Amino acid sequence: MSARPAPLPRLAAAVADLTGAAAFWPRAALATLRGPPLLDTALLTLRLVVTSVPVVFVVTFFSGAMLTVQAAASLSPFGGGALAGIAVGFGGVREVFPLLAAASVAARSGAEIASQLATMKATRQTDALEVMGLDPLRLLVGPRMVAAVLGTPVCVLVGCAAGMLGAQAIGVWQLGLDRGAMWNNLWSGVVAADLVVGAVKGVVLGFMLGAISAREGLAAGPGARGVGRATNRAVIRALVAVSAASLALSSAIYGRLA
Amino acid sequence: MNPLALLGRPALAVLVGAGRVVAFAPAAALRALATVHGARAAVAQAVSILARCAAPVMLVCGPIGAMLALQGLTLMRSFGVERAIAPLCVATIVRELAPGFAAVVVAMQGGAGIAAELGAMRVAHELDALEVMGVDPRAEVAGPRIVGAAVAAPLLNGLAMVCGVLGAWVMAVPVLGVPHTLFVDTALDGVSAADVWLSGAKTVLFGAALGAVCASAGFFAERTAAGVGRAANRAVVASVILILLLNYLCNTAIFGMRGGAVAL
Amino acid sequence: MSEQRAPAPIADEPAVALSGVCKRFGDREVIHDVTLAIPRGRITALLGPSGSGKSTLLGFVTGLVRPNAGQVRVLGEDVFALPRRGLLALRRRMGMLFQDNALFQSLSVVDNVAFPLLRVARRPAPEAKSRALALLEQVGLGGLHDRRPDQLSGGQQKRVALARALALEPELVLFDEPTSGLDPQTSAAIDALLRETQGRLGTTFIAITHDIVSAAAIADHVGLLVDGRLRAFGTRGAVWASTDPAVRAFLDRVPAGAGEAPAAPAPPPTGSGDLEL
Ligand SMILES: Nc1ncnc2c1ncn2[C@@H]1O[C@H](COP(=O)(O)OP(=O)(O)OP(=O)(O)O)[C@@H](O)[C@H]1O
Ligand SMILES: [Mg+2]
Repeated sequence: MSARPAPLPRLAAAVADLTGAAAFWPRAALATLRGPPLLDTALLTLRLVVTSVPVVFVVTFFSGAMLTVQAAASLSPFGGGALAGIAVGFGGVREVFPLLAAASVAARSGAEIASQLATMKATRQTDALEVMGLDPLRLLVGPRMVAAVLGTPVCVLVGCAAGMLGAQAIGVWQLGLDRGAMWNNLWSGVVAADLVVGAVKGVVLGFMLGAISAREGLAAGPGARGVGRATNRAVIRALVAVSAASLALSSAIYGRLA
Repeated sequence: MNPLALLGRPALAVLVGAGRVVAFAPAAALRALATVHGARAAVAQAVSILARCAAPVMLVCGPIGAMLALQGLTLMRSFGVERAIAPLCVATIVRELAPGFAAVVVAMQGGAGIAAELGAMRVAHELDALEVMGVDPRAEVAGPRIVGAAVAAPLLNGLAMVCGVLGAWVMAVPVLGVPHTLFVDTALDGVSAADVWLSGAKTVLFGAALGAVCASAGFFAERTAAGVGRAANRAVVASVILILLLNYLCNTAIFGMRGGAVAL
Repeated sequence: MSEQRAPAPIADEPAVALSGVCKRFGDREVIHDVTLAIPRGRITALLGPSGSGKSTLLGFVTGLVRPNAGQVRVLGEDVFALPRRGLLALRRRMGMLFQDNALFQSLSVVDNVAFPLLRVARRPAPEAKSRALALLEQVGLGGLHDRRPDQLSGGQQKRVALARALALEPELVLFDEPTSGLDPQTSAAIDALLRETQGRLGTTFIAITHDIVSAAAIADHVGLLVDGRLRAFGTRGAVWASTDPAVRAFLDRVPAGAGEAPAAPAPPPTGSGDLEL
């Protein structure tokens, strides 16, 4: 069949690719600092929030619902519904909802960033900018990085709220728990600091998913195939990075308290 | 703009897209399975999805298991029930986190890949070339990928369970000081074989659903490079939402409407 | 497949007959009432500027594009009256070379050519492979069979696509711009290959092109499409000698290369160009 490169060169290529990806991050950070065009930045931030929030809402709402159903079932030996509310609120706000919110932003907006930049690369619009003496990093990557860094924390907070609503809705309508008690249980394990931590996570995860998506977009191969592959790679790499970073942040912040 | 149109247009797009998936995917999958060649192609696709998704599944599900152990232990210590950490972690991973996140990884890696590849084949007229040869591209390229995703997802779910539990063990035992023997002795207390089978069955459903959504998105992609990027993007978003929706519906079906919460 | 309808094709029935065919995309009419009959066993070139509707016309023949009105008969069958099964069967009697080659990127060169033999003719794998290698030899690509399509030059890819289109020894072969995007030498080589192959097989070739030089080199019959209207159709000599101003406007521009034929000016309403129709 098609000639596949031998394993060793493939490994070398993978290492080179990852090094290239890592080297892009400081450049992406610089691009955000070198004054990206303001109007673009504002519009792209608005676009990210407006397009990602519905996805984040649906995903976290149903994950809150799903966790509640499952927790009520597996915690029934320990007191069922009450504990389920506490566990879902606590674990959801600290971990699950921020992670799923960031993953949703990666899927909705990260992939869009990658596919747009990859299309510009494939149709040589980025080359055209360079030839005109303009810096694609500042003009194209900068605004998207700012949008991701500002928009993701908003999405994380929306995700926390939506997850709680999903848990509450299912607790009350489906499991028949008391309305007020359920809401109190959900929030009983949560402190204001958790939401601040969530927002901080959102900033970090937003930077990572923005940088990864922009890099994969700009590193796209030629043609429609290259655009598709870049989009695919951006999403999966962002997911892996975001879940690893989410754990690292959690253990750094909550690990010492545990 | 009319606010109703603002809501109505995406709703209509979702309906039209869903209709197209329903009209396209089951027929494509069945037609692929009807021939030896198609079945063999499906196995090849399953192997390729497994190869592409194994590493991301490990990298995503390990940290998630660890996160679960960390937060679970924090919460359970405050109630004095930390002895139950292992069964709780294992049960949550086997029933929820492994199937959910394995499916999300398959959607983002395998599913987006399917959409991107079929979209590229649409742009380059490869699908038309099949048509003109008298070969049905639905049975030839779309069907095997849908079936392949449905086959690969439960296997990756198994891998996700193993990695999740390993991650939880690493966080609980060496890091947070839960005794190793306690963890190992009680690990299987919270799950039964039925849980594992149900979890596997859920992921077959998730895999088939995401395969169907992603294959349709790619197959009907617009014939431009930007169109292929949009198709992959849309495919991932729709798959992730669909997975969570199905997961919730499955849980409700499995645990019953009252979710075992009658104890309260 | 279509036992009931199957009318035994009459020997001199045209390979392709369009009658009164129209096509709209949205509210733009792209093909306007085209009627033509393409003879069997010849090379027919359909000429026309970019965007004049040539690829759309070929889409009618393959059944990929459904016209809004009119009838399309190919190899004695009414393409759009056939059930899907019958359409697939009819397509197996055709070969097509796409404008962008449409080679399967996931397969090697030889597997691309072997594909129709394996999947359509269901030959055993070793036989399909040796036949594919022989076909590649014929188009002058003997040594390159293990490469992937994207590792070949444009002209080489055209040759692979040609070998694949001919693999099933079809009764009708369609070419969408066989020489577009190639340099004059490579174009001439592809043209010679087409002529030679058609002479050897004696089947019907339909080639779409906006390259007048190429059409002059290969065609027995020529049709000229301008703005979705068939301005001329007949033997090459007759069309070349036409005095219709719309035809002259297209033919008299000595082509500097492919892809540059500008849209012809709107033709005068007189004489709708039915040369020898
Ligand atoms: N699917 C479609 N939707 C809308 N418009 C289309 C579609 N396909 C073709 N067209 C339009 O129909 C017209 C004819 O297109 P067609 O591809 O047949 O031209 P062509 O003669 O093959 O041109 P070229 O030499 O550039 O290949 C063009 O103006 C094109 O924009
Ligand atoms: Mg064309």
